[in-house]
Amino acid sequence: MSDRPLPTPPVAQALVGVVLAAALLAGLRDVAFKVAPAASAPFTGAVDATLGPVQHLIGYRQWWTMFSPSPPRNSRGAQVEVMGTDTRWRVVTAPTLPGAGEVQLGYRRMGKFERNLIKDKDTAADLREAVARRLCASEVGGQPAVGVRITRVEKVTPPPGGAPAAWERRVQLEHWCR
Amino acid sequence: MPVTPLDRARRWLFGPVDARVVGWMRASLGALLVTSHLAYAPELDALFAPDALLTQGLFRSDTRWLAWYRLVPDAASLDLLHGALVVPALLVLVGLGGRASLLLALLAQLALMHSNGLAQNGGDRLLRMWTLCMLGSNGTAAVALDAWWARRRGRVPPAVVSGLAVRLVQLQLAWMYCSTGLAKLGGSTWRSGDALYYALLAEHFQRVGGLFTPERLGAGVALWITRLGTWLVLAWEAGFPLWVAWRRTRWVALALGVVFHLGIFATMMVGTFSVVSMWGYLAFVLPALPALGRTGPAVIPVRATPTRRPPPGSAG
Repeated sequence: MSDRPLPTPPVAQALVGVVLAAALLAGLRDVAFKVAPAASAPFTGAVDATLGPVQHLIGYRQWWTMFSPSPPRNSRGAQVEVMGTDTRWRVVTAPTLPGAGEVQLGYRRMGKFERNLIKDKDTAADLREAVARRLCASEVGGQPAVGVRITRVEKVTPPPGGAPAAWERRVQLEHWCR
Repeated sequence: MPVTPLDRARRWLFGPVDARVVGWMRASLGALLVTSHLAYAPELDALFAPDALLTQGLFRSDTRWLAWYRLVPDAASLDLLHGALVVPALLVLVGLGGRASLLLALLAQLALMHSNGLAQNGGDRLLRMWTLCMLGSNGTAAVALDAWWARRRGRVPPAVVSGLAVRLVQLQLAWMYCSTGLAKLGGSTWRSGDALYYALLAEHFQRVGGLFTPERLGAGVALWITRLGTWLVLAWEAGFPLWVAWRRTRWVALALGVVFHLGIFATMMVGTFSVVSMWGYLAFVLPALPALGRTGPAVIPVRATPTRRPPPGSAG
């Protein structure tokens, strides 16, 4: 009788070795893409072609942002406004930035979702159109909607020195309902 | 016969650990999985419901078959599905079903990811990694209903198991910190020492709105504290594999990590990332505990690998 575990069979060890090598390759790809996207394009492209589908399926990404290479220098949010037949813009969704003194205890995934919707190049434009079409079918202030405006709102952090933060606004979409 | 580096690597990866080390890691991971899964509940409709405003036009996923939350017809079915998918996490928590429950828990996490990946954060990704890593060892040989059930049926669960899961978690943690630290070396704000200043002022992360302002942090002692903190984090992250590999610095490095993560948790809203990251420290701490840390007959009473207990009266 022994308290040693059953030894891992050589085949299983080899399999683990292959998986670890693939994981290492995928990890190097993510670091290379983050540090030097243009220079590493041939390497990252080759890894994506071979490992990409599996990585996507199992959600394997060694993409640890953690404020690298630099933390954001602004705080972003989206403001959605709808115009009624009286031609007045009304705010439907304000940017979800915490107010002064407001304590957030629970994590809001919708906040993360909204931020990603603004910055994600693949989905942002489509989604803005979809939101606009959807809002066009609604009412605002008891009137049918005639227009939708989506504005990207940013609070820009100044460099150290004590200057106050500045606000920037950029209209991303103005959609007129038919 | 000389020991080759490959032998050493194999021994390091697959060498035995006390089954209770892996058992406690599995149980605590189960608790994290349950908590993380249930935390979705208040926002299920907003994130997944077919008629939710912000989910219109999304999800051109080529893995639609895994986007289970997008396949349900209404909000009631969404609640039902979410309730059902917490079961694998509960099984992991109590240690029932061996690796199968871990696999199912991974599937449940993938269903959430493929249904709305834009609502996920680093903590979710790390939780999936930990689940994958834990598949490397038999996690239900101790601190588990599987082990209890085996004993009731006259089988003796192994007292030591392959330590592959523990090693994978250690490697993953070291890779995560080191690769991020190296990437930060390329960022101008980390080199100049201003990164922590900018990170603390990113309002969408702030736990207490307005606690940090450019006026308060941008000058004097506060600025120098953030600068020292920036460089300390950079050195700690980039060198993490070295700090934990060297016995003399290991505990300082892990203690600093706990301080950093608790600091992030107290000041920033980054989801479960802090807690999920600190779970990985168990892979260093548990094997070092005197009660669990050593394997072999000197510490653990001799037990058999799974075998039938002899029938009564046949002893001797």
